[in-house]
Amino acid sequence: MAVVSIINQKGGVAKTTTALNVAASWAQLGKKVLLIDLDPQSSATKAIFSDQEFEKTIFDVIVGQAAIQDVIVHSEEFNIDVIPAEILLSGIDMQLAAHFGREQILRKKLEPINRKYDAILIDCSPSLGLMTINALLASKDIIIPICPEYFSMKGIELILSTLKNIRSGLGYKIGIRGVVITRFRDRRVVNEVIQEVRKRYDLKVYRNYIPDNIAVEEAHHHHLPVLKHAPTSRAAKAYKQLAKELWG
Amino acid sequence: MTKNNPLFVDSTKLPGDLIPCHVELKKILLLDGEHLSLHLLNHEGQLIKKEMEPSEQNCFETRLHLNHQTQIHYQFVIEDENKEEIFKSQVYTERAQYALVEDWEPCADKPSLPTMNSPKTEPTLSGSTWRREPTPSYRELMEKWGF
Repeated sequence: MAVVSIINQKGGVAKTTTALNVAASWAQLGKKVLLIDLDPQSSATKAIFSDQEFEKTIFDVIVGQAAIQDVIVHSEEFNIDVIPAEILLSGIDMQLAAHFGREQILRKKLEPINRKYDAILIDCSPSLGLMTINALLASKDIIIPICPEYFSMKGIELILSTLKNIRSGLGYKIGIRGVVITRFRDRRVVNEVIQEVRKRYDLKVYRNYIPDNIAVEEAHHHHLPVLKHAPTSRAAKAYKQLAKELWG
Repeated sequence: MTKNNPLFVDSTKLPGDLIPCHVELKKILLLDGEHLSLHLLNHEGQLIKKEMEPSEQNCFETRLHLNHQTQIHYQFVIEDENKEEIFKSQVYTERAQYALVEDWEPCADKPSLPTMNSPKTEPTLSGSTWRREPTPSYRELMEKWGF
């Protein structure tokens, strides 16, 4: 397992929820995991640490004001290491517009710590910007969470277009590990979506789907992974199985 | 030529810098004896011809060096064993970058009226006036010849 980005340019598909709970599940399997929050909204950071403020975040690393080792914080509840985000990430495109090698900053910053972890997960922002490009160039491959609905296909199309542009314009080929079905309710709709994804894009769809389950939202409120907050819930069991399937 | 999104432009290279370019053509099937080549006109009007080699299934590739972000025109050509051109793809116009990936199914190209003596327009050094080679269907040819 290397650096993997959780990405979908459509919002509300449980990217952060998937990143958090897969990371926690891997940690429960004994893996050493680092989660990097690259979203200016800091959803992953807040879900883990509530309103705790951090002196240094991934922003400081990107702009060269902190070493990456100095911004890593550990979460006992999730049993993972985390690099928190902050709202200043929203201005990073302007700040680094003329920076030499602006698209490879995160890739280079991760080099000193790459080998210390069994897996590094990046929770990406849904918007396409410099941070998302950095995440993709730092990643060996990506996982795409989708909700089974019409617009989920649009999300996949956007990502495929982005990966194609990265390959053409920046010379990096990034693989797609597979698609995760999240927030599913209707099995018939899910089956249709899966057929469509396989037929149109020839992508792997993971067999463990994540159901739409209130336990997930409750876990967020308690700043816990769902497998700790409600271990017998359908979502907790699904995330545990999905984590094993993702690890391969 | 597509619009240029600066997010996908290598900030470590200046326009005109020499970069390696990987050209890939998918969905292409060649018969025995046929060859596929890339014909590329660079920003200086130089015509570069490179034979493409098979890589994965139904996929051919080649590599060359181009000047970053300069305008190029390129076309894929299928030749028989006598180097006679059988099929030509449309002409693509792009900016030189690290990878050019296209799909082409020659048999799916829309056939025009049978013109066995249709003129071919050769590219010039200062600029190309590429014209797509007409590809009549077999039925149209048989009707024309009275079979």
